Amino acid sequence: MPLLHVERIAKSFGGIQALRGCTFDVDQGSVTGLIGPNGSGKTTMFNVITGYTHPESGLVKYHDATIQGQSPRTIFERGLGRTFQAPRIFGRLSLVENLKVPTRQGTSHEPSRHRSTEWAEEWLAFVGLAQHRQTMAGALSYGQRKLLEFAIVLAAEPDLVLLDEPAGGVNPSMIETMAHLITETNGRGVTFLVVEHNMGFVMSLCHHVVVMHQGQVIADGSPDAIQSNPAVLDAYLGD
Amino acid sequence: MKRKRVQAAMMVAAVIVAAVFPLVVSNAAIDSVAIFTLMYVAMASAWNILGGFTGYVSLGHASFFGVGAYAFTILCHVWHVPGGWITFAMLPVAGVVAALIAIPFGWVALRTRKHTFVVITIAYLFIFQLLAYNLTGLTNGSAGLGSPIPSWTGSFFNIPFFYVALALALIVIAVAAWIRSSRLGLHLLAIRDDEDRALGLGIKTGRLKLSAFVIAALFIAMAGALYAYYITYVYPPFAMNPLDDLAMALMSFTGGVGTIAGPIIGALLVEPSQQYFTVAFQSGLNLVTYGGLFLVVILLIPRGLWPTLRDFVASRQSRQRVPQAPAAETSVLSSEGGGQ
Ligand SMILES: Nc1ncnc2c1ncn2[C@@H]1O[C@H](COP(=O)(O)OP(=O)(O)O)[C@@H](O)[C@H]1O
Ligand SMILES: [Mg+2]
Repeated sequence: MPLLHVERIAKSFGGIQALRGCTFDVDQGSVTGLIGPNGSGKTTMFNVITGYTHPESGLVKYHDATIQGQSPRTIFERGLGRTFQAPRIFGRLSLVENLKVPTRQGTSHEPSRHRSTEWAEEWLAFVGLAQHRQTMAGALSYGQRKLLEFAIVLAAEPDLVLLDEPAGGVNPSMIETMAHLITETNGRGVTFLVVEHNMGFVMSLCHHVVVMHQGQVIADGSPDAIQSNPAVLDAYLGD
Repeated sequence: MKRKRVQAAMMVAAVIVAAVFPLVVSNAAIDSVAIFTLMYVAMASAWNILGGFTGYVSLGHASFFGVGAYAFTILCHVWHVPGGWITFAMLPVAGVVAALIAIPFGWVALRTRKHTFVVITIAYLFIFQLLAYNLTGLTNGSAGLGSPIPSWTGSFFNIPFFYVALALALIVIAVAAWIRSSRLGLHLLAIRDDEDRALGLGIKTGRLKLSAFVIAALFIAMAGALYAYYITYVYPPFAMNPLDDLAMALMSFTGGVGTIAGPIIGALLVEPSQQYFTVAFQSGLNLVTYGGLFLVVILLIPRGLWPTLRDFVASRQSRQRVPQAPAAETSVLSSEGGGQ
């Protein structure tokens, strides 16, 4: 049984058919890649899975519960977290405060008391931002914001995390940090679905890759199989 | 932590000065200005819980000032509450009435954001003003209603009102400070920065925004009730006054919106000078003063006096300690972008 099951999801914006019946699975414990040329619908798929947009038709199953159409809050409470392509952090809060924001009320992952500053600092240390703990998050660089957003989402102890271009617009050493963090967190049992353009990053990190093109899933398999798939090469070179 | 202690010391000093003020200054006109100033400290601090912490700028909460004033006066009539000390116990009652009324209005207005929210709250003020004029059975229309007359007179008249206004101001400040330091406050600030992001991190944004809206209404209404008792009368144009909406926003922005000290400083500066200009120049010149001050604040100190001063002092201190202040990292890209 996959942790996440997406079936025949369709979504359009006015005349643009962003998703045309996409079906794929994310296995528990895996790092699954979601790749495809710009505009192929990856971010829209993330928005559908996390409740930020509602699909016209189709099914999203998470832990065997149907979640499409639910609010982003409910989906997060269930343990499905995400980051955004352009990181969204709380710019006028300190890093420590940012870490304390997420909440999963009514679950065993919700602390009975206010999270402690020491707890927040441990998470900041984990992503290498400890020295900025009292900085306002708005003063961080783009890459640091990606790291902070990663820490905020993971601190809520999710089972599945969707990362939208974690290495996009980030310097090479930070890309390495990010890859290392994903591997390490995956080792602790967190499942990942990763949208990324950096092929080296995807191929070295992912156990399984789903390829989208013009709103459709055109291939689905191991990184090796994907790299030699003619339909995939076509989609990328044909653009 | 040193900064916290300095702030606490300043607060204690301010309370002591305020506590002895009417004993030292026995001029009735000045004491009256002091009472209004303390009322505005309470109102601006309450407004700031919604407008500052949550980022929803309401230009309609003066409606609840009016609802508080009317609820106080009407309930005193209905329950035959005479003018006296016990009458002050009606302030929280009036506050609760207004808070209950604020729930549906807040629920509707908070479905919108930014400019739309501002416009809807402005509409609220005029709706409530119309109601005050037209529900004559309840409000006696434009003729207004008389409130209970206090049982004390003469040079002592202002004293009880002064201390009740001071107590109300301190309670609102304490509540605001508690909210700011609690999880609720953190979540309100998160809503202010990026509401959709906050929703996607498990925050019950709708419920929390509404709480802020209603808490602000509750305390602003208590100030309205105190006002009705103090001037012993309630009329629609005074009770539902658009200038009060401008005042609460202006005071918060002048002192530093979203901070605890900001609305206090703003009210302490704006209200006495506004009263002075009204007396000195008669007429509606105070409107010009409001507009002018608003422009100056937005253009020169958009964050308000308190944060600007605080950072100025902090940067001077750090320059004295270390010869070269470390350059702050600046953002490369903003965190805007819905759903991206
Ligand atoms: N909110 C929206 N309104 C209109 N069109 C949108 C919206 N979001 C995405 N699209 C369109 O849907 C298509 C897929 O976009 P997106 O999911 O962002 O692709 P990707 O993340 O793969 O680059 C694009 O054609 C894009 O212009
Ligand atoms: Mg995208």
